[in-house]
Order: sequence, then structure tokens, then C-alpha cells
Amino acid sequence: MKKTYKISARGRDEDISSLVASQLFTPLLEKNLVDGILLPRKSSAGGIVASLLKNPDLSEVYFTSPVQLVNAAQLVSDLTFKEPGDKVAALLRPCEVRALVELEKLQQVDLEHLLIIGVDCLGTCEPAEFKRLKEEQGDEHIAERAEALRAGQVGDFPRREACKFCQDPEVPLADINLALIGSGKEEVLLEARSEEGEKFLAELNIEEAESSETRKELLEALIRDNKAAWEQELENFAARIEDISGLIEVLDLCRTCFNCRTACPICYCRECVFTTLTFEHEGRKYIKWAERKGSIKMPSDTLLFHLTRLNHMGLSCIACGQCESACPSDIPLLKIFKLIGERAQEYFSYIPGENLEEPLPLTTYQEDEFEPK
Amino acid sequence: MAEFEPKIVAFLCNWCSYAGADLAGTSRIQYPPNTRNIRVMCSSSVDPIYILKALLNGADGVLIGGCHPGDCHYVSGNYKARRRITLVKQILKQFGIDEKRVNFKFISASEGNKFAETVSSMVDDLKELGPNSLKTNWEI
Repeated sequence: MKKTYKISARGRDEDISSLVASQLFTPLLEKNLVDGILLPRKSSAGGIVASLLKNPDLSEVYFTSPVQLVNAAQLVSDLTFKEPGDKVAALLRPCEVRALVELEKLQQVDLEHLLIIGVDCLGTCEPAEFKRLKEEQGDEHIAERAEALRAGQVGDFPRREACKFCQDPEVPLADINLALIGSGKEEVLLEARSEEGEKFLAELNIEEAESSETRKELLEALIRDNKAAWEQELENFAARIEDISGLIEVLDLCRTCFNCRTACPICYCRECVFTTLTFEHEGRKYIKWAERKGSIKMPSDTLLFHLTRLNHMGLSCIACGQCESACPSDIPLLKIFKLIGERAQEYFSYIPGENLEEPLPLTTYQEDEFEPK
Repeated sequence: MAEFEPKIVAFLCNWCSYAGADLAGTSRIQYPPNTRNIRVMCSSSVDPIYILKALLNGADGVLIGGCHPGDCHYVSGNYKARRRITLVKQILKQFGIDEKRVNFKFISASEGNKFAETVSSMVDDLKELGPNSLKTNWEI
């Protein structure tokens, strides 16, 4: 099911963010169809941060924000995990919806009470890059970025490592999808991707339209380019960690801050084993371990931490790269997790983030599979 | 120099494999003394972190023993353990750690012989592989 609708400027001079705000987000709130909308908004200091909006006066919202400080699936979990309201809407990028699908399977979100508004994405940049662009160009690059999105052109806009290799410019599922790539001038095409989405769009009197002629082609080209970039990157990188000593080398500057874990939308445990008493040892134990090997690295268990995380969330890793963005030591975590995760996912014939019906590989089994038999 | 004797950490399920190991002992079956046995309530309670911690702290191999299909005290723990351990092996293999270092076997309470055979053949395999290189690496 994919009915297309259209929001158009009809000659008014509006950028697409305020266009969508005035014709979609504001009416959603004014008509009390949702309790609130989670979406990026400009802060007074000029940053663009995720915010939960209640006031229908939606100035300064940017649904095409070029920066993404957290994977918003985590925020949806905050909003719906405990006593959710009737309905909250969330504007989510592809990697956020994919994470959301995994969190649903891990029972960390409540999709019943959520209206998913998907939005196309060509990638976001690191916060530091955003700051630089803001200082150099003011707000101009934000508008430029939105136009580039409509044209499906990546251009030379700086992108996070994950975004360079991302093969999901559109959301896998949504209620309403803002199909920006391929939208014509002064308009934004919307897709109703669920019955509920259709119901909402009908209620808002948004007009039906023809689907974009160029969209499919543009999406395919984007996927093709990024896939090629990933394959090229692998040529150098895969061999580097073929051996455990290679991985140890790559993790050399890890300070065990757990930022990667905190930033990871899939790592949902309220209490992670690595910050429990299990890893609090008596001083003399460290001395004993050091005695055995001559010395030990402190803090210890760096490799154990990363390998354990790979095992715990690798099958659900949707390669959003927030781990790497959060790493103060620039460790290529995205590449490690994407490479190892995808191979493991392939082994279990599982694609994370795609299908709510498909169970997590580790929660199910078949009687006749793998070894031993 | 004395021959390399691999150290194996064995996680054995309370209901089947631990009793199997016990039977091997009470039946006085001869097998190499290379395992350090840890009784667990179910093979599926062996989180990857246990396996990894053992290997990273110098064990040459990890053996996990669970009930035969259909015999699990908790209905399907052994099947789930099989998937989980398959994942651990699959991930370790990608970093060049031989799959043989992690070994999951179905051993029932009546299979003292199978337990002894499993340990013997695992010791042979590990001797062939040589010591686990992480044993002496301080930078992990």
C-alpha cells in the first residue's frame, strides 16, 4: 500500500521545512491528533537538536536537519516504554526507523502509540562539522542541504562515516513517509505507508498526487554509489582485522569510556554487565593478573567489552554509526560492527530493521540446524 | 620442554552433561585432565561473555555441554544455546580465532563415554592448534 499525497507551496515563499511544518505538523497538533511530535528543532545557540513539540507554533523546525546528535529510536523508547500517551508522532530517518524495528522486537518501544513519520536521508554530518559549517555559512547550508535532498544529490556535503556507506536512503516502514527525494519544486510528496497513515492524511485534507517519476531511479543510484563505496572501503579494512592482533591494534586507543554503548540505539540494557560489580575487582586481583602476564592494560577488558558487545547486539546492528560518532578516540567502530555484524546477519539469514514479523535470530530456533545435531 | 597441555574451561549443564561428566568419573573412564568444569543450570545460561572472558584470560578452549535435542529441562534452552554459540564461533572466526576453540556438544547424563571422548578429541585438536595467543598478550 503506497498512496501518494502532496504538500505544495502554491506560490508562497516558504522553505520546505516551514511548508511541511505548517501543513502537516501544525495541523496534527492543532487538531489534537497527536500528543506531541518528536522532531529536530533549532536551538537558540544555533544547533539543531531533537525536541518534543507540543506548541502548534512550529517555528524553526528542520525535518531535513543535517546533524543528528542521537539516534532518535532511543528517544522513542523514552517516550513509549512506560505509560505512553495516546499517540505521539516521531519524525524519523531510515536508520532510526531501522533501530526502532529492532527495539520493538526487544520490547523497548510501543509502536501502538506511535505515529511514524519517515523522512528520506542522504546522511548527516558530525556535530563538529556542523559547527564549522554554521560558523562559515550561517544557516545557508541547511537550506542547500534540503534542496540537495530533493534532487537526490549527495554533493560534497560532509557526511558521517556511516552515511557514506548507508544503503537505506528511505525508511523500511512508516505510517507517513516524507518522500523528499524526487519531489518537484515547491512541493513535498508524502506517502501513506499504512492504513493509519492514510487515515491521518485524509483527516488533514492533504491532496492526493501522482508519485514521483524520478524517485526510484534516484534511490537506486544512491544505493549503488554507497554500496560501491563500502565495497571499496572493505578492500583495505577487512584484511586489517582478519586476525585478533589486528583488532587489538585497531582498538589500541580505546579509553573504555562506553560512549559507543551509550550512543548505540540497540544497546538497551538498563544495567550493562560491564558497569556492574562483576567488573569491580579487588586490587590484589589486578596484581595477580599482572603477575601472570608481566603486566596488564588498565582499565582492563577492553577487547572483552567490544567482543561482547558484538555478540550481544551484532545481529541487530543497523550500522547507524552513532558508536563511531561518539568515540573520542576515532576508533573505526562503524566499520568493525558493520562488517562483522553483516557477516553474522548473513549467516543467520537475518536483515535487521526491515521486518517486524521476523523474529530475532537468538529468540528462535529450528530443530535441525547448525552443529551439533 | 614439557608437551603443551591445553586448558579447557567446560560449562556443563546441571541436568545432563554435568551428570555425564560425573558418570565418566564414577565409571573410572580414563580421559585427559585438561578441563576445569563449571556447573551451570542450562547451556543457554552461558552468555557469550563467559566464553569470551575464558578465552581472553588464557583458556585454550571452551567446552559447553548441553542436553540432547528434546531433553532440555527448560524445553528449548539447548537449541537456543546452539544458536548463541554458533554466533560466538562465527564472530571469533572472523578475527582468526579457530572455531575449534569453542565446542558445543550434546552430552546426556548416561553418556560418560561421550564426555570422555569429547574431552580427548578436543585436547588433541587444541594441541594441534597450539596455545591461545591471547594468553600472553597484556594489551587486551
